[in-house]
Amino acid sequence: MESVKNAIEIRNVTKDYGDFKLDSISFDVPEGSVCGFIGQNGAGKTTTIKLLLDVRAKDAGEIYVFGRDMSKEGAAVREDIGVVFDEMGFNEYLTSKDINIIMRNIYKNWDEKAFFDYLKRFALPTKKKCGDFSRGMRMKLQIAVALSHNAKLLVMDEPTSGLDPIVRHEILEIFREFVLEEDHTILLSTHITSDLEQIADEIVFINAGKIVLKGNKDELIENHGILRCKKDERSNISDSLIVSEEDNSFGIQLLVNDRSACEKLYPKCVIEPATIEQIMLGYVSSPKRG
Amino acid sequence: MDIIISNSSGVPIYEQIEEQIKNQIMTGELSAGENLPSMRVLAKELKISIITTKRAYEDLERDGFIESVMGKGTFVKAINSDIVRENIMFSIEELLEDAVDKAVIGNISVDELGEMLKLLYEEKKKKE
Amino acid sequence: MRGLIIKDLMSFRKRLAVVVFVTVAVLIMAVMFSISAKSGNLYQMTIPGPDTTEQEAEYAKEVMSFAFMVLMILPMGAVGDTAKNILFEDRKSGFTAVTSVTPLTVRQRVLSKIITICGLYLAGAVLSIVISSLVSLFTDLVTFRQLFAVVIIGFSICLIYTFLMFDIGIILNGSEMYSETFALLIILLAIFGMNIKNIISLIKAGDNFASVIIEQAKNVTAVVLDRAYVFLIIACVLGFISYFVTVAVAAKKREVI
Repeated sequence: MESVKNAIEIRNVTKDYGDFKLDSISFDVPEGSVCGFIGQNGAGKTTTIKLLLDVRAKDAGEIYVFGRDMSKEGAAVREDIGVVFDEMGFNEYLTSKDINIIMRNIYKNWDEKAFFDYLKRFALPTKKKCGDFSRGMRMKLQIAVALSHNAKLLVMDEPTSGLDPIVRHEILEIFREFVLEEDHTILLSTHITSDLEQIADEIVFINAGKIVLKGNKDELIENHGILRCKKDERSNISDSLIVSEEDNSFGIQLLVNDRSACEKLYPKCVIEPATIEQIMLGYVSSPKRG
Repeated sequence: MDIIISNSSGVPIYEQIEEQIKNQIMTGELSAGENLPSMRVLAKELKISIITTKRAYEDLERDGFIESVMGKGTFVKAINSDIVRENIMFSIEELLEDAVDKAVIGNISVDELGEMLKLLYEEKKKKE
Repeated sequence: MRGLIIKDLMSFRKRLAVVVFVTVAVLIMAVMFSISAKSGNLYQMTIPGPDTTEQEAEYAKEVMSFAFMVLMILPMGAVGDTAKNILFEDRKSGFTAVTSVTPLTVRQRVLSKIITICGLYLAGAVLSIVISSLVSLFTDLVTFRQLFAVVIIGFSICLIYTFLMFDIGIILNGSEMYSETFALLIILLAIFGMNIKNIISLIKAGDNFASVIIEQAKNVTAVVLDRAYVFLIIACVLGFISYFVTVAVAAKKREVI
């Protein structure tokens, strides 16, 4: 097999804000994949994204996008990156038409036709002030801008949060279209894990400024499992398999990190596949007891 | 080509895809040389991750059902009847294993089991 | 960079009406004022007569010439409001976040602000100069040269004020109100400091207050108008400082512009 090229490489990146520290994080996003970047609010997702785009200066570490050093070539590389934030930043008095004029004069590869096609598809008015747009419309406007300059990488910070299921569905569909091209990559930060179940190839999970889990989504889901057993059976189960533990009045629920091993070792217990959400909860919850 | 996946069956999605494509190749629904959709298109249409379709295609390629040509796409391979036969034998064996397990538990002799099998087989033939 | 300048001009667009209104109003006032000063009611005040002493007539002339000068600055003042908006609205709306992820460098982003602001004030100055030349045709209380100097000084002070706001806003991460107040305070203190001698003699003047202040104003005006270029130089220097300071701060903090 040919070696996989990485669209994003983050190496030991650190940023200390005093009250919050991003602690030597590293991860890669292979070209052509959709990477779900998950974590709680305040875990460091937005900070990581801002450092990645060289919008903020990092304290230490290295960041490469398309193999280019962001701290040196950041501005030029951003020509090929489309970015969507959770809040629209356009001044409220601007119309979609104005935004087209502005962006046409900023991006070398601005594709006016693509932009107006997206506006049409999203049913966004061209002459209305964007300050009067609903949350969903604002998000779509940002996405239209992000997709209209021939970007190869889409970086999005919570693009679907606060949107109704229909709009979310519509937006996910756009992302799927985007990655039809083999060299198109998406980094998608979110806490809506059901979106990721559908679209992500890779998962990077950040908690309190540290990467706690990363890897191929299917493998993560396949490896992890939810094991339920009686309280007196708990002592039979090897601690090294347990990620987290939750007791209730009638039994114990464990998140385990090797489902097939558990199925063989403890055939009497109920074991089922874990969802991304369950995995996320398991790694965030207090360390295992016992 | 039809592929129907279930998100709640417990069978991994890539296996479901593999199984259905294999079936369609063996029944001749997909003929040799036919162009399969790219894994990106398949992922988009089925609303699943690319990594899942990628895995299915890789497994199918490894098992000799399809082949991917760089820059051209993925194609159904001419079926090697030996491989098909081997495959069928393998899955029959797996199914029979369960039957044997039950027979042992129920204290049923090999002859009785054989008789049962023969009956079922003849019935099926008759229907056809 | 062109894109950002266009965006800031779009911000100006919604305030264009105000600027046009002020300019037209100033033009009308100035013309009416000068006609009146030539042959109307105001003219009566400038000739000594039974009710007016010679000195009072002289004062009236002086006050009127000041009034002309102040009028000339108004169109630029109207632009100033937009300039302030251009500096602060992007941080409030989050447009800084949008520009920060575009291929534009920090330098380009800072430069585009400075260019837009200078451009807008320059447009205001040109309007003022046009009005000045019209006014100077109608009156002999002030000369075109004097009015031109006033416009240059007004232009420079507007720039100084805006650059101060810019720096205070960036360095101290100040809000719009905060930066505005401080910039104004600095300018007022500077004027106060330069005139401290005059102010002391004013306080000592007692009953002669009116005559002393008019005399001083005359002197100061004469001196200042001859040195309009000094203000322009200060404005330019501050402009450069603003550019370098903002680029340096933004390189560390980013997202401030």
